[in-house]
Amino acid sequence: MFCFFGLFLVASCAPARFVEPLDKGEWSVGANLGGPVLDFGGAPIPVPLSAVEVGYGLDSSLTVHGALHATSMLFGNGQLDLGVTYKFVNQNKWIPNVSVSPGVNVIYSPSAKTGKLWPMLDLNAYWNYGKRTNYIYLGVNNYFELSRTMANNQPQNHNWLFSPQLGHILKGKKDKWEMITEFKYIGPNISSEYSFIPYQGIVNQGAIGFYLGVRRKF
Amino acid sequence: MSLISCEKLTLDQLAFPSEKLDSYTFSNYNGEIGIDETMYIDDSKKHLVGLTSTDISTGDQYKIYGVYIGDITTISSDSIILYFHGQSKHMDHYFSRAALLANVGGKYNYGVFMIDYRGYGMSEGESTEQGLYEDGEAAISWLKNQGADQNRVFYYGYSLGAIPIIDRAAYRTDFKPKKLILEAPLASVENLVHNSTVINVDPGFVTTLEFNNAEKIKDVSCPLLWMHGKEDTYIAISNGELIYGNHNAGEKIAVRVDGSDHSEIPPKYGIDNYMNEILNFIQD
Repeated sequence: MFCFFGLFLVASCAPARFVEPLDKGEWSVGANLGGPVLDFGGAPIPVPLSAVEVGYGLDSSLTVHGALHATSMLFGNGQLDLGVTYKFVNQNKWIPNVSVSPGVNVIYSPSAKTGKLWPMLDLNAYWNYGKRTNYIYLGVNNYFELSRTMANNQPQNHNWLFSPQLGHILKGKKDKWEMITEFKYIGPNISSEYSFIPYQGIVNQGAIGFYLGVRRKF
Repeated sequence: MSLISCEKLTLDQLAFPSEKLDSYTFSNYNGEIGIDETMYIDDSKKHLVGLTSTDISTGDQYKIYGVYIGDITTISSDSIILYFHGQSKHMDHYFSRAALLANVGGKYNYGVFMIDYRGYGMSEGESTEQGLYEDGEAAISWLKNQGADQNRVFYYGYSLGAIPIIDRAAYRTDFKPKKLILEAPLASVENLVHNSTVINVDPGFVTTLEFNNAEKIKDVSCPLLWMHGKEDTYIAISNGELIYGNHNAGEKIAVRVDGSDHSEIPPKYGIDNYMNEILNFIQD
């Protein structure tokens, strides 16, 4: 198979970062693994992309964060995502917390002498529950393509990649550890029926993504 | 103590899922598609040939293999289809397809010459994009050295085979094909990538391959027959549409086959329809 699964190095290669901001002055480091689910000879398998992340709480509503994409480095690329998370609505019973995370994903290949930048924007609603304030989040991840043309001078088909996401954060004792589980539905408005890459979508639309992560706070 | 270099990964070799062989069977029974026994090729008409492919950058030479179907002694007076096969395995896998072509217009009406690229079948070396072009060059040179008349040679590229066939049709100046046939070609690696990832991921991040057929076709100066399955889930028909649209050299014919996936064009279109399409194009 002429398999370009590695193309997901760039897009949809990570779960949402810091849906809930850190406390003021708090640091965290973490890692995640996962990606779009592909059909490998009948077996659905998430692409095992990986990244390491770091975050810092500027104040209790604002966290700055970044991540280095480890799998991308295997291909000789330097790839980072950088952003902030700002919470602007606090939970009140069933009314969720709401946070927004603008950022950028940047990649550069020294060997190919080419680089690319994509603006990103996440919007998430999340509900804390229980003594440890675990939370469930529901939101949307957005990537923006700034080019007007694509391969062979064709008009760019899509300038916005929209991906709903549903995730859960399980916190450890004393709120020092977090375990992240997330499902993404990547590009549900885009047909994957004739895509070269064998996505597992829903009725030949989009691609399902599955991600796991862990985070340690200091 | 030896120094260990950390060489970066690329996905290049995934484009060439070849299999090595110690020998060929050229079986009429097996292969990518089935053919009627009336179209079976006699052993006396199967000629295994060895040819030399040269790496222009290093001067290294590789022995590659081809099969000529027909009367090898009358190449100089025969009409010939030069057939470059797809990405899988080796010539045995595609022999039945070549056999079909050898039955176009009647049994052995056209000679058919097919090669295995470097790294495929018995051919030496490792497959690369530049290697495809050099192997294609070697195949054309072999035909030319056998006395083939370019006015009676027709190029046919299927899937991966479209890459060297378009390149040589466009850029070899001393031997030009009379006409060009493309079956399920890809437009370019970049096009495959952009259509698959939605946002414009540069394929250079993971591969050195370009396969820019959609651009090179602009430099082809002979008529074109393009065939593609409408339900091609491997190389979507939009790839072929781009190539077809960029072809500027006069006559061109498009055959878009209903219900056909990537490797199903002959059976889905109908074997007779498929062969008549090729015959009419060549004879026109």
